[in-house]
Amino acid sequence: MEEFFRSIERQAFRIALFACNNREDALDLVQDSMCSFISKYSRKAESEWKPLFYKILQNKIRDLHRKRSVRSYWQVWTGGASDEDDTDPLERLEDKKGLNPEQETQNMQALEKLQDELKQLSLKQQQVFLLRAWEGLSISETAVAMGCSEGAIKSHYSRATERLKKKLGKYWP
Amino acid sequence: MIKADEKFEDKVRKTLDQSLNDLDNGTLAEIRRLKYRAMDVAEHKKSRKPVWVIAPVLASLLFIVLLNMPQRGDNQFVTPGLTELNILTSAESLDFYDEDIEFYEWCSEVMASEANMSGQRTAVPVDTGTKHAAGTREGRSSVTKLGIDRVSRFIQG
Repeated sequence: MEEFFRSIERQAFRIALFACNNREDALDLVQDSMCSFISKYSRKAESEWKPLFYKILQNKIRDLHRKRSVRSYWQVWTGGASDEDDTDPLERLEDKKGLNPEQETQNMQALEKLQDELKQLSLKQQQVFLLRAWEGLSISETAVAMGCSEGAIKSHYSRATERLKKKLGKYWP
Repeated sequence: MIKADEKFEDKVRKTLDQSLNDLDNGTLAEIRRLKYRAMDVAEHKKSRKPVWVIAPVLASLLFIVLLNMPQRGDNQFVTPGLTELNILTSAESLDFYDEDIEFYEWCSEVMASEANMSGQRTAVPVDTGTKHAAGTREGRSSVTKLGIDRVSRFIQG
């Protein structure tokens, strides 16, 4: 189990961070997902662990978004300020790779642009794209994780890819 | 077109992987800490028996205890011994006991002590000599009646 968590923990954190744009919330989401995963699915076959873990994470992300919309609704009425962390997660990254400045700048720009464009996608398109393109889940596994049909996954993925290609094409020739 | 897509996805994957390597040490330590915490919490939850396991066990135990609890009360039936039944069912008149009441008292005491030794419930012998003077006819008949009542109570439990 620990080995499995080690293999996915950083991606899971990144995916959660893309979805909620808040480091603390992303950490909470990952921890809650790990707790739920152990109690619910630890007896399942290891080959099923990844999609099942991401299924839990996606549910937690959806719950968080629902809570945020309720909170923002009340903040509009009560006039309170949003406590959402608007700072860019990239700003917290520190240089420890020892890359040359030119490479480092290119990587940072690419990631920044990708992140901006991923944020522009709908939550479903964004998460389907990350699970398929980054985590390498198959269409059926992504369908399990997202709780959608395989047709919907294909559609979300294709739209997300088209949009990202269109927007990032000039940055990534 | 497919090659272009693959190239694009590959670039995206590399960029995202790069972002993992760029996670700061504080975040990585936090992720590691919360992973172990999640595993501890889950382990702790596992070790606790759920209510649906405990409740039937407790109910079964309670049922067994109630079933084996010794019943107390007036309705407890004490099986009379063969001797007492013989006395009651004998054709002899009860006046017979008037003649040798001391003997029957002695019998009763012996039976009581035997029953006490064996842990059975039994009646305590009546002290017949305290209320009436021994030897008078009235006293003797009263003592006889008390003895008979006592044996009857003993039999009825």
